[in-house]
Amino acid sequence: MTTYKEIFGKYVKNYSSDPSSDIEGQIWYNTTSGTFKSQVSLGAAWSSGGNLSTGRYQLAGFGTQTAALGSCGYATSSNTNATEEYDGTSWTAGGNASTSRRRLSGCGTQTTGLIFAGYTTTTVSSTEEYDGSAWTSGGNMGTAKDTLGGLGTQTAGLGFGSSTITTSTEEYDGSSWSGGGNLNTGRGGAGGAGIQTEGLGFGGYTATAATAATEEYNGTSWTNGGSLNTARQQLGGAGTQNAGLGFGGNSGATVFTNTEEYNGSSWTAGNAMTTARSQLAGAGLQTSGLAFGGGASLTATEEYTNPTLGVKTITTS
Amino acid sequence: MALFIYGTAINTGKNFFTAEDRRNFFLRSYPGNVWVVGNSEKGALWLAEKNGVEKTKAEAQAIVDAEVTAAQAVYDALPEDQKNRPGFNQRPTAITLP
Repeated sequence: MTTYKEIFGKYVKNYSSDPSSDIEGQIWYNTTSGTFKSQVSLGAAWSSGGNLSTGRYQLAGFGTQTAALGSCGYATSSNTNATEEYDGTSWTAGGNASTSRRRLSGCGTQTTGLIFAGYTTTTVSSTEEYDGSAWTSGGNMGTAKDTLGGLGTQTAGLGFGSSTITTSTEEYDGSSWSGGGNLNTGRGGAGGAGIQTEGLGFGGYTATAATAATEEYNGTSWTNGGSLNTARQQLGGAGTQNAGLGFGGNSGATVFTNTEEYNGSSWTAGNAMTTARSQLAGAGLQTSGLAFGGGASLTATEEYTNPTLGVKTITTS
Repeated sequence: MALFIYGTAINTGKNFFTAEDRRNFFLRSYPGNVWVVGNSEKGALWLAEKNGVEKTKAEAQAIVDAEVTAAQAVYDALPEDQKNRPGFNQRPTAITLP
């Protein structure tokens, strides 16, 4: 019989307790338990985060898994201007936005945030900038719109699409909006990730149905990327153009838990969320994402954890 | 053996369920604080540790149905401009537990 040493040129090391190294695939023999063990990838998964104080959907969300911001949206029966800040464990109240609105979009960080457009009792074009404690007005979008995709930063933001199924894209420079390159597929309710010069727009709805279409923005124009495996609208987005994350959303009355990861050219299935939800907010990265709100004014937050290494006992089964 | 355990439990937030839980057993939440948990030792222990109240599938389904019915009533009371538009709120539909 071929031995391990004959295959790899090394013996399996003996340890009395599991080593703390992070080398995936390393194999050793635990002399205490009398078992062979290995470091293996445990795979990505969602876990629960702290609950929002104000359950809501159609909100704006951005930032990171440990420093996120959620603002505005629709809370049970009315628009809200409430802002909440997440620290990786719990949500606390931030400064209220000036205009209560829903179906808005946003981008940036917890201390340099941007919200724009949305619906009050009518579609609006107004922009607000967050400094970590209070909102001030920014330049108005060229066209009032709602249910649009958003990505980027406070000084280099991007808004695209709208509920009117438009190809329109607008770029923000920290003070004013200007026209950008048009989407190839007109849509509303798209997910967004990345930055203004390396942006990712995906999913949403066209005039007839939810779409799986993905597009990549280079600061000037959109080009088609790989399609989502599950067409859906009003999903959450996080990450970058080459490491994007899409989760939740709906296709008509069907609401999804599905998560998909983008590698710059194609989407692959990730671990499903625990709660099916649409019209939610997303933040963070592909390896450390955050989903919050959505559905029927949900308070629930979920955190997406990247594949981490863990110790597994090797068995014959 | 049944595939799932049904119960109600209040999501208390951070660490209510962990990534390890998600890797160890099936877990989904539904309206009415209903949870469907993979029927395993770890799944059952999780529900018990969360002060969950175990239900029969029929009891859990009834809770979900009541929540959906209430949500449909809320939807039906919305102004017409908030209904039946692509991408806007859709009338909640029945949910069938696995």
